[in-house]
This record gives sequence, structure tokens and C-alpha cells, in this order.
Amino acid sequence: MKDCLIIDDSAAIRAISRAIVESLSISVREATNGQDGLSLCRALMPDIVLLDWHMPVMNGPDFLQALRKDTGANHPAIIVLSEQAQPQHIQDALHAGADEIILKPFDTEVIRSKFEILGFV
Amino acid sequence: MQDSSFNMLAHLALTQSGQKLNRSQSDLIVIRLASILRRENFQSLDDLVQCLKARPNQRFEAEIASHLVTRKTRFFDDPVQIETLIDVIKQKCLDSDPLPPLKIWYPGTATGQDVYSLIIRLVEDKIFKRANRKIEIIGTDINQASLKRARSGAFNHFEIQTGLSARRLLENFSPLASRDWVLRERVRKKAKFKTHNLISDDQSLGRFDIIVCRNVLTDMAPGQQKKAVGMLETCLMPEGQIYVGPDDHPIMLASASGPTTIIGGDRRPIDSF
Repeated sequence: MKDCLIIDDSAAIRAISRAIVESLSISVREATNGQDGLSLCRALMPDIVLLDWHMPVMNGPDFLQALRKDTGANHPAIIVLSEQAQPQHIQDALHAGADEIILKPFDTEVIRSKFEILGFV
Repeated sequence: MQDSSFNMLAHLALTQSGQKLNRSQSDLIVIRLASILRRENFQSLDDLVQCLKARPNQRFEAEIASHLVTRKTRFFDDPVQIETLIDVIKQKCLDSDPLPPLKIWYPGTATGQDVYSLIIRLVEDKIFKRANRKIEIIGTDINQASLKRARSGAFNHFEIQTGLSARRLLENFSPLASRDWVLRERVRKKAKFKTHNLISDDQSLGRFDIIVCRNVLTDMAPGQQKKAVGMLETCLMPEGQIYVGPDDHPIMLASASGPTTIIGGDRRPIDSF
């Protein structure tokens, strides 16, 4: 079974995301910020990370930078969750190492579609 | 909704668009006709049907029938089939001597995501520029509101995130103030959209080298499926190909009079008979 790590400071977003991802037969772990997420990655690298861009303690861009330092090119697939829909922001996230972007709000179909695009469904 | 109201709406859908409605779809019917109820100030579907009975109006009936068949589509619904199509189009346009335009038809296109998905892939491979022949792509539907949206090339927050990668979004769309995104002109101008009824219109669209008919036949009543398949075959050039979705595949096999080349969805073999 594939393993997904959801990193988001919002308990509501984590709960919704968990329900959707588990419905795709993918197991889920959770972290509330980038630093905790990084610790979980170091303990057991997930196959895919759903990563909030704006979080306290360690935000999305800093998490990506630290993860790249740890793993080089072999990092898990990264889907950034963001409220910012400006093209420049999407471009920046892709440039920072995201494989896909989900713009909030999202629904089941959006998450399923992004997992399909990355070959996880 | 009273049984008599449902029966009239079901009759309208069947006779005008070939779609078979079940009593269990009452909630769906309410959702699909909600905009008409609001616009015409009807309190319920029973009121709407009463009005139709009292003052028959063919144009209004056609509009209601078209709303009842509203189809949900998404970008890159079947990426494997799109890549098959791209290979075929390359063979027909890049490796051949100059020929008349290659004509591709998407019946039941709804809001046009299937048409635009193909165009996005053709643009990515620069096939429009490299082709020895013009490529004409037309999407048709009976629902005017869907076609209006298809022509606008504007899609909402959820639609642009379903089937479309972030890179393709950036390359092909621009954001609007409304939070919708609109396709760039270079993609939009390659598509044509036209009103057409698959079971009752004549052959005014002409004949096509490729027809892509996905998830259109499945909701139709069996007799109307045969009519629609007959229309597809009539509009197909000799040596042409019909691409269908997985659920349309057995319907095509049962209804086609052949010889027709039918290409199914993912993991489906090519049937030529």
C-alpha cells in the first residue's frame, strides 16, 4: 500500500484530505508543520506528500528545501496545497520542487485527479 | 414531482435526445432544470409541466430536453486514448502528401474539455504547425448553454483542477478576476462548436476522418442508441475511425452495421468489422 504524508496546520484540511486519500486505498500519516513532517520523512519516507504552503514553524518552501538536501533527486512526489491561485505562485511552487499544485478549496475529484496524474491511482 | 410530470419529462428526453430517464433520477432532474425553473419563476417541476401542457412550445421543450442531458466532462478524461489519437493524427498529417483537411468530430461535447484536451496535446507537439494538411476539430451538443461555455473557453476553479496538470494550466490558461481561468487564444481558436442533435439532425455536418464519442450513448434508450450509432456511421469517411469510451464500447459493437473501425478506451482492443 502506498503511503501519503499530509502536512498542514489546519486540522480540518488534514481530516478532509485524510478521508479522501484513504478512499483511494493509500495509507495516511499527518504532521502539523514542515519540521514535524521532515522528522516523519526521516523515520520512513512516504511515497507522496500533500504539503501546505503557508504554515507556522516551518513552511512549505523551507520543508521542500530541507527534504531536497536529505534526499537529492529521490524525493517523494510532492503536491502543494495552496490558497494562492496566481500563476507566479504556481510557477514558484513548481520551481521549488512541487510536482503538482492543488488550489484550495478542493474536493474529492480534484485530489483523485492529481493522484491520477502522478500515477498513484 | 407527480408521476404524470415525470412521465412527460421522460418522454421529452427520450424523443428529443434519446436519453432514458428513470424515476430514481428525480433529484437529478430537479438539479438539471433548476436554472429554467428560476428563470421562468416556476415553483416546482409540476408547475413547469402544467405550463407545457397548457401552452405547448416546441422551442421551450427542446431547451428542457437539452438540459436533461447535460453531461459532465473533464480534461484528459482518457489520456491513453488521447495519445492513441495523437499517433493517428501524426500518421495522417505528418507522413502524408498534402491532402484535404483532416476532420475530427466530438458529438456530445458538453462544455468542450475533450475537444480542448486534444488541441492542447496537438499544440504541445506542434502538430498544427508541422502538419501537411489543415486539422479541423468540431464539438457538437444539443445544449446551448453548454456550447456557450465551451466557446468561451472559461472554466471554474474545480474544472481546471480536474484532469489538468499544473504545468498545462500555466501553459494554456490565464486567470480571470472571477477565479475562473480562460484558455489562451491559440488553443481556443482551433475549436469550433455547433448545435447538433445526434438522433434527429440531418447530415449537415459532413463526413469525418475521426469521430470521438465518449459517454454519450450510455444513457440513451436502446432504440435511440441504434439511431445515434447510425448517425455516427453515416458521418464517417471511408477508412475513418470512431473512438468510444469503455461503456460505449459494447453499445457500438451491438449497434454498428459496419464495416467500422471502433477504438475503445484504456486497455480496449481495436475492433474492425
